[in-house]
Amino acid sequence: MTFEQAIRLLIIGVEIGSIYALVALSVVLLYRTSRVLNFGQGELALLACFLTFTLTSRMGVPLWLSFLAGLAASAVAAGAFYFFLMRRAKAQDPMGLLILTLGFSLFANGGLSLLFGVDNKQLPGFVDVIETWTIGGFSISKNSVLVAVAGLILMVALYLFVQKSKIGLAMRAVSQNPEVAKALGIPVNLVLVSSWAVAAILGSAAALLLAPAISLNPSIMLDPLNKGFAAAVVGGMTSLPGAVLGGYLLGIIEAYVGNFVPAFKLALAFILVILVLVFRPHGLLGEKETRRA
Amino acid sequence: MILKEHYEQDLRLVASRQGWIVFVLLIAWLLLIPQLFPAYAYPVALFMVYSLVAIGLNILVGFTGQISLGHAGFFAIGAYTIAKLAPIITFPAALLVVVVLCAVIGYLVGIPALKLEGPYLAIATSGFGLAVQQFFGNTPSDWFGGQSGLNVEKSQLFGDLFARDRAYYYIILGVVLLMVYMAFNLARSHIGRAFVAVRDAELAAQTSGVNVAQIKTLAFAISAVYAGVGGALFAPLLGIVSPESFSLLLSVQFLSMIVIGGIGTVAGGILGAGLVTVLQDQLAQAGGWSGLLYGLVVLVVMIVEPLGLYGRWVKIKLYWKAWPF
Amino acid sequence: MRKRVVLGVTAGLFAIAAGLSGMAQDIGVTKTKIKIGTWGPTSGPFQQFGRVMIGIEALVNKVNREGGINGRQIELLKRDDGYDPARTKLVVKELVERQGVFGLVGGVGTANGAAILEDVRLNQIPWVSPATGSTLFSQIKDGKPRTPSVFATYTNYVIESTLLLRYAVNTLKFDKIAVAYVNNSFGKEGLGGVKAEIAELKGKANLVGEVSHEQTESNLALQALKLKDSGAEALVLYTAGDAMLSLLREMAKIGYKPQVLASSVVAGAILQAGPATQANGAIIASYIPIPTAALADGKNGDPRADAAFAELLKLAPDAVKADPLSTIAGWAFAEPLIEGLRRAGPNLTRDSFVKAMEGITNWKGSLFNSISFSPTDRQGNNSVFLVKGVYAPRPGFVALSGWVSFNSER
Repeated sequence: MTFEQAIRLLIIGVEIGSIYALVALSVVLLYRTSRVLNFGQGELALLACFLTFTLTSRMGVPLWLSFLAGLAASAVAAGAFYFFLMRRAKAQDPMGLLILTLGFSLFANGGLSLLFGVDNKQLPGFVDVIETWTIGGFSISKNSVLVAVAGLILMVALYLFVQKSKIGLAMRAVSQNPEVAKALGIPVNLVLVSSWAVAAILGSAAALLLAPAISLNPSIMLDPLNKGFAAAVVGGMTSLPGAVLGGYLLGIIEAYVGNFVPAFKLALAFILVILVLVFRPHGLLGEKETRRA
Repeated sequence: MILKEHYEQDLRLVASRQGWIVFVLLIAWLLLIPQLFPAYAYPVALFMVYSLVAIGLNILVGFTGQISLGHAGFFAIGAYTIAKLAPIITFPAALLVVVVLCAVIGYLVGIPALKLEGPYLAIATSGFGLAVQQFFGNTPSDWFGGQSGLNVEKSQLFGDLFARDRAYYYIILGVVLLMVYMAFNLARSHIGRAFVAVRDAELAAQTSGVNVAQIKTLAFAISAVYAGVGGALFAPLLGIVSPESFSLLLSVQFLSMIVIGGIGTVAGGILGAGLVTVLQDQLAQAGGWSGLLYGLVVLVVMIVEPLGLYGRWVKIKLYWKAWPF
Repeated sequence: MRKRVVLGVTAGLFAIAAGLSGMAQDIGVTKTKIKIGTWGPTSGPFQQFGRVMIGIEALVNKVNREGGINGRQIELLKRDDGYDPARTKLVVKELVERQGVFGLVGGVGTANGAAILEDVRLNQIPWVSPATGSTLFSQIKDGKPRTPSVFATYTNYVIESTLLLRYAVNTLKFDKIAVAYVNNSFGKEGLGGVKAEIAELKGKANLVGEVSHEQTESNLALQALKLKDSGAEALVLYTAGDAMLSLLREMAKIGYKPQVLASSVVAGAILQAGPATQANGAIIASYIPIPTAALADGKNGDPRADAAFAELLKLAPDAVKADPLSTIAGWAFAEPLIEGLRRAGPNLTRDSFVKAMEGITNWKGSLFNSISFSPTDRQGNNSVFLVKGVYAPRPGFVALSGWVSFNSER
């Protein structure tokens, strides 16, 4: 492998890794507060994409405005799903909640397919997905740079939100001990609703960055969500920096492994995940959750 | 009999005379389906295959509290083993190989799984399922048929006698009844009780002399055997094994069966498998609405009934037993 | 005594049942109706494949509106199988055994079709145009069709890849060839076809690169890079539809510009990739003629394809605009079925239908170039032609060759 090839693979790995990292962040954010894996994350992101598409391509609304409207819609849908269904469901064990989100995912996917159709649509992006810049002999696509930079900005924003804002502080409190948080007068429901909303925004942002480069149809989030879960687990389900690390790591490993043994790319990526877990059962940066017997 | 007064009552497989009548009628009904309703022989056979996997998964998830999103992998191993071996060494012998093979692989998967829990175990097992799927699909095509898979024709395995689904149905029925019986027995044995003890309070179980590591890996092995035998019965039923059939979606479907049916009981797995098969059969007519309706049913069951279908059944039974009080 | 009564009643019931099944020579046919079944995924990740059913439905609607066949209306029963072979068998069994359909048409997927093939053979259920290019369905054994009630019309992938490759090598004089394929039976068969033809061309062409992608994979940046490194001058596509769009864009990003040649399966969607990609100028195999609406100059399309397009526009405007060729394909799949039913005449039975289908030779009445079956051949269509995808004066296709036919025995 030449040096040039190595760099090119790295660029591919970082671009796709940014998408994985964003999805992983949304997975971890939700897990920390609600202790649930959300299979419906992909459909929430699709809702944002389809709405953005309809507003901008069919109704002529400016792209940035449609983009924000899409994010807002998915946040509201996620909050509502938590508040009206998750919270009230009688099955409150982790397995029951997992299958509840599965039901939501199937339901929402069916609904979105009926509403918006299953054909490939072209979601416009902020830059032309094909145009490139040439830096030091390497041509880098504008879209790759946009995805990587937007990903970083979102990660920093999330960090500031969780670490510095009042609601972020409350989220951390709830994630450490919901009962105590409640006793201290933290509005736990509000915190949980907002963590579902923020998670949906992160996942939707990932989808909105991804879709212009591929195409938009009801199954595009299947693969990123799968990898996002894996990345979250590699980084540690309780650690936000871990999710970012896991996302980039998985993206880069996939690029290099895929270059040499393309047919077993997926399997090898997951075997690496298993290997990490054998040595670090709670992920690279995760902590063991204390269990009260 | 709501309250059990003696330990022996708890040990009984069928609790009462009414229980026996229901039991005998059920068996008779299953025996007669291919004769009375031949059009339903395939759906019921498929349901029986799925219930076997669901029972096995329930032993793992429901009894010991571990999760698996990789049971499509064991299912595939069973199916491919039959497809390759049954034409050479006869079906029963191949079935025996499936049992041993899946027990060993299940045990081996169970060892690293000891360290993992919750989402970590879910993703790691899904990785196992994926690796199995890619192994069968991407190895040279003279091994396992590559992406086109292998044809498993019943007429070649069993001769013309079992070429049709309604005849092969009885082979499935026999194996499934035997394994359901064993599952009921296992649930009530000291091993079954150890499983539950590990799930409810690992520390307490350990101090009571339960070898937690051994019990957990054993659960994985038994669970894998059920899934593998399910796959072994599935291959001739469908007539083809191809890697596309054994995706992550299938593993997710298996998990949803036991959660919908009721976690931690043998009957729960069976009920869940039944509901999923009925939904797949009936919703196929709904065109573009089928995905939405399927999701809706899952949502409603999970919102309304925490213990799944079996939990609802027990509640109804108790309500009528205690009526009018 | 009582035992004897029971025995008698049972025997009687069996006799009635036997009598019913004996009478039921024309299952699914009444004086006014013919029941026909079809299936494909309309839920789950592969639901795009299910749109073949739209074309079938559009043709059936038209036939019914014009008075049906020999006074009978066609009742089309559509089922969703989620692209899962176990569910395919479930729904087809339901169609055949509970709904009592006369026959089947279309039906998406190779493994899915394979799962019901033994049943179709045992029960001699007529099945026209399995919607897959696999050779499994028209297999000949000892000079006879393995499954006599199946009539395949889909140009198989081997024929198609042969034509594409010969054009690239003999006409365009390329010798470095690469293949991109989806890692499933469709992609692998396409790859096999390309490899076989390269061997046939004896040194005139070399396979310098092959890349694959998983069915759920949507970003093909890595594959684009590998293809560029292979230095191939011509690239044959047997990818999945949306993955193909990603591949073409990633190739444009890194400035890799080979001649693209695409399978009919992905042809319909290729122009969505955009004018700056190699979709512009791509050579595409098609087994059905192009309607005016999909031609670059918007003139002189095939009139029969135009009629199908207009009918489809009423039923599913978005789908037919997004991918005219794959939706119209469904229409073409159903045409031989209609013709066979017509030829079988008023006394329609499964036997008379199979006989009538076998009698179809050099029939030019459908969108396909020409349909021929015979008692020893079940592959009815062996013709493809080539078009080019362009973006001026508007995105569409330009004819490149007339119909080219191959011997299906190749």
